[in-house]
Amino acid sequence: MKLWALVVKDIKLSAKSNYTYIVLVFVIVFVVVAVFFVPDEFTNDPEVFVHAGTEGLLSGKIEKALDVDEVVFYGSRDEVISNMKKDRTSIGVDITTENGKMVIEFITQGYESERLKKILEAHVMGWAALETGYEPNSYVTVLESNNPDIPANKGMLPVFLVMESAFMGFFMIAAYVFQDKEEGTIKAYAVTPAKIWQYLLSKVLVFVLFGWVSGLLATIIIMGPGIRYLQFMLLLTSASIFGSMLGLIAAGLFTSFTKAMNVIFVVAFVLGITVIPYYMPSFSPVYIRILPTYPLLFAFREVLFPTGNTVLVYTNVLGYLAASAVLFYIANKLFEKKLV
Amino acid sequence: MLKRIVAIAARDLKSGMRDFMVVYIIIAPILLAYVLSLFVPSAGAATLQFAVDKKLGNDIVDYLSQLGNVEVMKDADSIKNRVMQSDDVVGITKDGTKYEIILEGNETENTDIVTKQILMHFEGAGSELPVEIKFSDIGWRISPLAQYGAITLVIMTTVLGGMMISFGIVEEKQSGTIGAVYASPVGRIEFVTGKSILGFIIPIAQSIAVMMIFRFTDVNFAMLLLVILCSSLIGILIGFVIGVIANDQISAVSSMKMTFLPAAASVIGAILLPSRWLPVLYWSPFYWTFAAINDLILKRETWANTLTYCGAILLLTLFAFLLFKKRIKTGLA
Repeated sequence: MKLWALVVKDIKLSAKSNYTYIVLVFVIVFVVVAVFFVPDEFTNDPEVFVHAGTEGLLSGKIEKALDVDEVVFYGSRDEVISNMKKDRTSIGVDITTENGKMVIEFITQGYESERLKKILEAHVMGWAALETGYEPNSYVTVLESNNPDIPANKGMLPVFLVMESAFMGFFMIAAYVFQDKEEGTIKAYAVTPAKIWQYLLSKVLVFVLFGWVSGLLATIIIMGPGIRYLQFMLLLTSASIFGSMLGLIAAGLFTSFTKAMNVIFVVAFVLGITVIPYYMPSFSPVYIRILPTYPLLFAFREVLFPTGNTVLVYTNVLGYLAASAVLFYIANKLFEKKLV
Repeated sequence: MLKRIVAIAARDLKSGMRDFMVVYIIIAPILLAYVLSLFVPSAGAATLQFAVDKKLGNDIVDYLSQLGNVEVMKDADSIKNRVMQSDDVVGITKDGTKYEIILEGNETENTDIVTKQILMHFEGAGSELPVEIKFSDIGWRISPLAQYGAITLVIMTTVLGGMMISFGIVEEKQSGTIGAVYASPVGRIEFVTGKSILGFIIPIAQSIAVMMIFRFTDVNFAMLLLVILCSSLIGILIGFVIGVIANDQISAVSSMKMTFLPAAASVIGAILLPSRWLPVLYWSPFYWTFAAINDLILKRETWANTLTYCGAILLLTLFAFLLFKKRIKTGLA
């Protein structure tokens, strides 16, 4: 009952500080952007500018040879280069003939990696071999045949669920703790028979509730009723608890609110880096894979767009709960020593 | 008057230095820039990842290592386990004389076809065809990741400058020192100006450091300074508005969080939207900051352009200031 009374007190405090409305505003803005502004299909392939002096072998097949949806043709190599200078993500191609050979010159900006160039070379040469009747000496085995096609706008939802709904407590909990400290609530609390862990848990529960409101609202509007809400709630709840526990540690380590917030901003930024491999899955170095938001993004994707890999979801749930228990123990010790 | 303004700024600085707060605030984003700059080259070089069966030998491993990251696995089951992880990894083993390409199924489009072509190239298929591949470049060494990473961090520093002001005001309100300041000969304008000084110094110091860390050492620093000065104004204004509206830390943090929405939307929109859609971002001073720094990095800046961007930032800030002027005035009373 004491715990629940503390939770109710914090919810009232949130309403007074307009935080409840801000949670709703975030959901509304995200849903509006996802539904009305982001298309279902989104490609960020680079523009390819082509001068085809001699098309020959590639006649009418340039797009396929280069594995892009479309290319833009120009009348000369100079025109290609001048347009590349206006778009620094573009790539140029100049096709000519030299001593009876077709010469395909890839004109890059200069920052592209050697690996990318090697892939382009292997890709075009392999394509030419296939076109001239060579049989590939390979076959493809697909391990998961029921992979859903994820629309770009719905694919943003896991990012929102991780960075806003699940990690809301990480961002905000320090403000609640320092608020109590300023108002002397913690000191008053210390002279009551209640335990410090109840106080900390009440803060965590507030953000689990806010996480539910934010995550459920956005998911119901964007995905409708057809997803596995039990798995969804388990994952959201365990991740919210973990995010809030991390926030409690940050709050417990610093004596100043501003200093704690600085650390939280920087850590939030670092955790946000995992969005890059989420959208660019061929870039997944170990130092990013060990960040807690990395598996969470893919676990939410699995819940929203299932491929049958439920192990991923439950491993995350158990992992976050176990890690939360450890963090809670540390937070309890920190607050016993520092804040009271 | 100047003496009193300097005294207020010095007081904030002194109070910040007491627990190394100011040093910390300046260093934290710089450290972040350094960390980001370290992984920009590897992110830029990210192409394909392969999990290759050990039995295929070193030749194919060496060849594929020129194209992407290669992990050598002990058998087909290990390959399958690796492929099933969250990232994109192409498994390659051999079944008799044919290569088996193992995919999870959710890889980037055409990964299967590209891998087949790569394996054909490895085996030398079509090497006698009258086709030659050449490469040249136009000398542009700056990766888009570094370019956009630096701009994002510079914009973040202007918001952080404002954040310090808002948290400072809230703390002063809560501790009651703001009343003590007004009981002294310090006027409201002097107080506001004094409080703003750190809001200029912090973003300027951080932005210059960010540009240096990302090795944009040959940008026009006079123009950069002008852009940061103008952009800091919107950060400072936001800081004061939040500082006077928020009665406690919860309101201050949540309002600051709201500020990141237009900043993030401007950066993401400016990067991703096609040029015909960019006018939808013209309302945001963060967009104009993005455009100005982008031009500086891309070496297409002119004083006319820079002044136009700064003019847009100042006009929008002035508009926002007029909207909140009364609120700030009463809030600081």
